[in-house]
Amino acid sequence: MSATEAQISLKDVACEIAGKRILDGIDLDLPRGAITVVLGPSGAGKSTLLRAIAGFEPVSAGTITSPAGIMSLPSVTLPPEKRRIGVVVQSNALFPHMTAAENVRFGMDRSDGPRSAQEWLAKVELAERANAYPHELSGGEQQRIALARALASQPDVVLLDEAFSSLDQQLRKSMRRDAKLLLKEADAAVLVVTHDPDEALELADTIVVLNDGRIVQEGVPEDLYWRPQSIVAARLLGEVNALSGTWHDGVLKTAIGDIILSEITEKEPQTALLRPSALSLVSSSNGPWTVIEKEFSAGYRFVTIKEKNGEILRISGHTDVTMKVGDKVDVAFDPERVGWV
Amino acid sequence: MTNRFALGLVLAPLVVLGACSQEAETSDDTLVIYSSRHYDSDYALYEAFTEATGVEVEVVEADGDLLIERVKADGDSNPPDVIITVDSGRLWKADQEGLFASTSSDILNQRVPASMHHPEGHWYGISSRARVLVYAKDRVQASELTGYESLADPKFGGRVCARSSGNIYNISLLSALIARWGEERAQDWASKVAGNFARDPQGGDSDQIRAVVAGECDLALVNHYYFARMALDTNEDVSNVEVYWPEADPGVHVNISGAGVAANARHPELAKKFIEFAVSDEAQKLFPELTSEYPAVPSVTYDNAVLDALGKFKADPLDGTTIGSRQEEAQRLFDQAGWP
Amino acid sequence: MAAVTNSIGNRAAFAAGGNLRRLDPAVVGTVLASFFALPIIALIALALSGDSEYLDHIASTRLAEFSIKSTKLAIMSGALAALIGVSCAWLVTRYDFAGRRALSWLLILPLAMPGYVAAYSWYAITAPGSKFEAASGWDLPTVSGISGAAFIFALTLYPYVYLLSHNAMEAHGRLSWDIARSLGAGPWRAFRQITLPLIWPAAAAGTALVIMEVLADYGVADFLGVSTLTVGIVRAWSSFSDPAAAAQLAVLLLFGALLALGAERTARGRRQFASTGASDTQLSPRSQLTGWRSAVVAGLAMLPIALGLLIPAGNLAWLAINTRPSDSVLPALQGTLLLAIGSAALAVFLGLTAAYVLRSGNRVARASVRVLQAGYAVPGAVAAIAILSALAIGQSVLNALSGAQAAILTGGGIIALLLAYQSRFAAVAILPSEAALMKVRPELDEAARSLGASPMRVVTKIHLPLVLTGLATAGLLVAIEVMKELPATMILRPFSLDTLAVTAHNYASDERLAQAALPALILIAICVPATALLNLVRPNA
Repeated sequence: MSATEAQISLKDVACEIAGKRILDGIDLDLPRGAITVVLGPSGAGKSTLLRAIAGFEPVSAGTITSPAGIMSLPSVTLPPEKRRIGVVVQSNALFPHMTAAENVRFGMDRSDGPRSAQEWLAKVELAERANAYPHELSGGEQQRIALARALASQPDVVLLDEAFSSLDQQLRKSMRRDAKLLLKEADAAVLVVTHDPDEALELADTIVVLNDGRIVQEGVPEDLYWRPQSIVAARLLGEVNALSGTWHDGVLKTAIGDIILSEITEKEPQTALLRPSALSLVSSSNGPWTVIEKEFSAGYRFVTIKEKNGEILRISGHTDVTMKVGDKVDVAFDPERVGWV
Repeated sequence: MTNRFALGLVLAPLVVLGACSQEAETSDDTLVIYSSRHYDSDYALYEAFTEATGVEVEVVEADGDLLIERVKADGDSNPPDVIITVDSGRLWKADQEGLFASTSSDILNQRVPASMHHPEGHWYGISSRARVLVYAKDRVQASELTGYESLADPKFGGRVCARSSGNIYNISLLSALIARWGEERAQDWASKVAGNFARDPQGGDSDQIRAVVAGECDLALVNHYYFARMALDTNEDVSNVEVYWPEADPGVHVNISGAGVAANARHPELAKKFIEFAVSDEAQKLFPELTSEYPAVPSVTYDNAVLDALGKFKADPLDGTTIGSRQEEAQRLFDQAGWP
Repeated sequence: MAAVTNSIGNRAAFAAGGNLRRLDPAVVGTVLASFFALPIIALIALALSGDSEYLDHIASTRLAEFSIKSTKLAIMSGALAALIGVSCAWLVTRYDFAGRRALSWLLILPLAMPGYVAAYSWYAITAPGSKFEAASGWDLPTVSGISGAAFIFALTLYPYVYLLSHNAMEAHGRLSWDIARSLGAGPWRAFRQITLPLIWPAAAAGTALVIMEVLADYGVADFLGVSTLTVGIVRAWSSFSDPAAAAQLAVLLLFGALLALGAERTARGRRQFASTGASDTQLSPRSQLTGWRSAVVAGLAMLPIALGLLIPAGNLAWLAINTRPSDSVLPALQGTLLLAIGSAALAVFLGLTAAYVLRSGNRVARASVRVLQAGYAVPGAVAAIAILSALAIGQSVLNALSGAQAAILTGGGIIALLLAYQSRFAAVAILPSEAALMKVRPELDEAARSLGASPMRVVTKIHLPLVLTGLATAGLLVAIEVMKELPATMILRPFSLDTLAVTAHNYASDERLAQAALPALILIAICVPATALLNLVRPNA
């Protein structure tokens, strides 16, 4: 990530609230035109991070800067209205006393954008609801208006805080897709806070994992998905198998075989992390694994297998897995898709 | 919480209160008094009466006008035996409403002067208060004052303090002045006095006195006993203020508190006894000694240094009935004169 | 359902032939509201029974002055109270500073100070020649006249605005302000264009309560020398011995109050600010203040409490210390508590019912509830006279029907007094209940009804838990009002029942402030925990 492209840059940022350190040692760059997703368990500090970038929360250490200048220092915080940001939150934050069009228009004073509020509403396919009040709109419609409002103010940075979490499954998927298009079009630096792994994987150019106020891992979605480097990070993105093993000389010996991690020198991996879809079943007459359960989920079969020493793995594959419960099987894995911790 | 429970919760207090609202029947030995006075002298009076006769006294206190409304509305149920109220006007009003019964006794007629009781014995005065002027000794000479008309004197422009025209004492005064001078002169006086105000009428009688002490005005119209009370109070300093008696013919306006037997009294004989007790020497002493009012019975002796210092004065013998009957006129005149 | 048949409203509805189980709240509400509106009807009847002689006299002399002074006083007090209430609500919602938690409920306490007591106390402190001025050497402007009265009203009544605004701000004040800032609005513009409109219904409701209290007041205006319409009303009654004339002016006042209420309603418009249920504490926590900023804000928040409660009460305490307590204080305390508790229970019931009526949309019922609310603007003394007339009429009707005396409808008595309180304080009970009901979204009703719940079940199983805080607020507010109430209590109270308010007033009006101090202080001492309880029943601050 070249520094010249970074719209927002955080260096060694810490945030303290009521004496408690919520964020610590945050180094992060948000590039223009890219979507960065912040993932983490509740209490990790995601919202605080977002609020610090927005300017609602001062920093107690470190700096937040943009190409235009310094945004936050421990001693001074540029107020939110002077940062060119747009925020979309989970709960309904449309101004209830204004119509949809008035909501969208609210932030448009400072922009010299060519589009009118009406045009923005059309972009989210709600042009005909311009004069409706928020309580007359459905949840999905409200979120679309909230997005239009945030984007209409021509922000350099867009911050989404669990923006789709209150919508139902189907709606969430379609909104995500549409939102991603709009966000890319806006060519702003986007930060998305979510706990939904599907959302994270679909939207992110970069995923940042936050735990206990610190960044635990950062990388492209594929890296984080197939090669997680902490159990927390791994579980946040979906189901993962943790397989313990013994480390000797660049090789981690596990129940499914030897995993070669020769490039690792400073640490001693103890556990291999494998996604269910990184494993595959191989027919075998004498094991060492036995199928103990089979489940069906849209497009996948989940098979749970057990080894005589008690290790349990869950494997997912396409629907045409033919093993039955009680069958003896062996396991193969993709060496490119192994994480460790 | 079920429907029933919630409703029960709400209704329970009502039921309890409904039961309480059945007013307790008073025993034969209780005298019921409705009074608009609430002074220490009265409490002492009730106690003394009980001690002397063994009769218990139940007192209901309410402001003058409210009291009259209450007695009217109660009608035959729960009538008082005795009604005590302050100010000739209220006595008159109560009388007009037919709230008093006729009473007479030698004791009452001999001891209470004619001007201080109703001609047909509907009510008898038990104490009185004079409406006087107080002035700042260092800013006003007693020789400059001639009577109530001094308040209207242009030389006191911006130097006069008085209460609002809604105050019953002022209304009674003006009623007396109307009887004295006629409507036209009385209204002229009122508007000139209003023109002399140092400030818009506010506060009570004591506040007028304090305003003179502080220098906000030099001359004020008050009831004498407020001055006496303040003079006896170690926390107040009225040393630079003096009382002027407007004795010019026909005399200082005097207002009375009176008591009468109620029309529907359950114990009329007991009621009469009470009033007779109230005008006895023993009882009459209580008023000057505890409230600094003057006793209705002129022959009574008492112990009050301040009253003694104020000395004797000539009281306007105008009867309470006349004063009371002109009160509506007086308020009207105040309104027309622009006295707020 | 046995307990239900006792209630008057249900009895009437039953007589009308309705099946209790399918009772529509709207019908019940209409009946109850009409019953409680009886005093207002009696008032109008009383007004019509007199001639116009007094009106003519007053119109040619002082009516204009009365009306203008009343209006001016109401507007000044309302504006000042709104300013204090909204600012304090904002400080306490937006920022976190030393003592914020305590201050957020302490700010309600000046409600416990009766206006007339504050007037006597402040006047004593600031009048020329006051001992305080002599001792401190300061020359304070005297609290008197219209500005003095507005000062007193604003400081003792702002908690109405504060309470309702605070609730609204906690619900959706901070997040929307933050969003507005993120969209480029500066702090002041965000407040003006976003926060104020959002809390406007709540603030307006609170200000309406303040104005109605001001219109109905007699003690403060009379003592401080302001000739309001209410002063004129009481004069008509006492000086002119013309209750009918008093009633006529009171009807005028009622009309004005209805106008004010109507204006508040239209201004509120068709906005529904149903709460989303999501608290924005997580997303928009308070801004932390430290150091001198924290001290300044804490000081600002402390100021109304000091001026409205601590200083006048302190003055009274100082007076009371040197005075022998009278015997009447303890029985007065008992009387006060009895009346307060009974009224509060009734008020909750009434407030809820009336709020439902308003919600039901039934035109006639809504109109009658509106009139009922306007009863707040009727001076207590006049309301009492009206009730006496109403009861007298009822009494004679009963006598004619039954040939015997029904003691319950006697002239004085607790029932009459409670009736007077309800008709006077209906607004105080209804407004918070209504605001609470507004939080209940219509979809909930529909969902419940579609599942087969009768209207009554919807009320008890679904609405009641949701609006419990609003109802508790209504009950507490009424209790506090009743404890402070003066003129109606004086007229209608039974034989042996004294209240602290009456006792204190009697002494103070006789210029014996020192003796008034103790009962006044005790009154404040009970009202203070009652108002503090108001904080417990609010949503978590």
